[in-house]
Amino acid sequence: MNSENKYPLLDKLSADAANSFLMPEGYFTELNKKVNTQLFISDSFSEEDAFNVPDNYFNDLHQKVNTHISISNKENAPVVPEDYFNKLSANIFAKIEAEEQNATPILNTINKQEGFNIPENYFESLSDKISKQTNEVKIISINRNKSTFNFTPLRWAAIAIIILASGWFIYNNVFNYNITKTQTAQLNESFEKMALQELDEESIIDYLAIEEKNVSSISDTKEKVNEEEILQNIDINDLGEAL
Amino acid sequence: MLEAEDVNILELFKADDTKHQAFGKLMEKYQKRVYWHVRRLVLCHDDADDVTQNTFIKAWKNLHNFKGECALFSWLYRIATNESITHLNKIKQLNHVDLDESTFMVQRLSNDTYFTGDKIQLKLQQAILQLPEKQRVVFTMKYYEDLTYDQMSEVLETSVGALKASYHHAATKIEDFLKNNI
Repeated sequence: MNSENKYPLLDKLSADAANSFLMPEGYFTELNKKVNTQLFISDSFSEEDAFNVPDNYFNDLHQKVNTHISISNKENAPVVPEDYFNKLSANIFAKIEAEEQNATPILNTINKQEGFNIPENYFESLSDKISKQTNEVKIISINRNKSTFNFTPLRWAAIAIIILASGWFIYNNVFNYNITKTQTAQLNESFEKMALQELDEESIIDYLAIEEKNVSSISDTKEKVNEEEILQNIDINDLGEAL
Repeated sequence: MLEAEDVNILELFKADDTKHQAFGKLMEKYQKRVYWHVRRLVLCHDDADDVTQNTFIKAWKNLHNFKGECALFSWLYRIATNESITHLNKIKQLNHVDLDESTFMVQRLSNDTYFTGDKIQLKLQQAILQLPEKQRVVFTMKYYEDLTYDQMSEVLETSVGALKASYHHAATKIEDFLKNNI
């Protein structure tokens, strides 16, 4: 048997197989370049040089993580003294005050109490002065409660009564015709009498003096008027007869 | 919060037969403090005498209205402060003092028989007189009487923070004045 025909089908396919697998043009030339580039990069940058870490980093890492965990855990939080925050503001203000004290050195050297004196036994007499004044206040307020008359403006009271009387007179004449004139006059008289009773003697004397003056000046004027009237109305014939 | 003694005074004051006794106790307890508070504000003894008497007369007339909403001492101080300011304004008006109030008042003080302070004391008073009214009151109460800010707050009805700021400004201004004028 011929060894060349042992596998005839395979022999037939191998020729085709050689033509079935193709590659890009200039592949092997490019391949050489690619492999050289890769070799260059791997030679220039080692994995160890890319990222550095501090010395003993990984040894300390565990401890650091545990510390963070314990801080976040409330049971292990730091403790402050009782009432610390309540007293904190007071403590701060005390420190501020102390600093302010240091900020006014001249003021601090001045004797505060120097210079202002008081008379001897001043405070003993002060109590008496004030007690006297409070007693006077007491008396005035008692008198105000008891008294029915205001003794000071008597004349004003009299004037008020006269005004009331006048008002009554006007009312009766204008609004109320049932009251007779006689009754009105009687009422007016009684009001005037009341007013006069309230007045003191001195006021009455002054008033009468003024009235006298007015009356005399009126009568003087009246006399003058009468004279003139007579002279104007006199008949010349009568005058001639008289003469 | 009222002190026990003050509560007793107020109770006694309600009855007519114990009114004077109560007021006597009140004066005994507070007259010196009120006087010195007034004196620091108005400076002259005669003025302080008038104002102190006015303060207690006003207290006599109005104590029956006191409701105990603050300490009795604060209430009295408030009256005293207001009376002092009113009195000072009256003095200024009567003497037609418009511009340099501090010089006028210091001159008045130096003529007061009951003032024996030296030049530095007069300068200090002049510095205090140059402060605005409220700052002057705050400074006087803190510097001379050493009241706490809480006590001052009750008297002046101003917040503690505002009082502290007021005192700080007052002290700084006074210090500067003294530095430049001594």
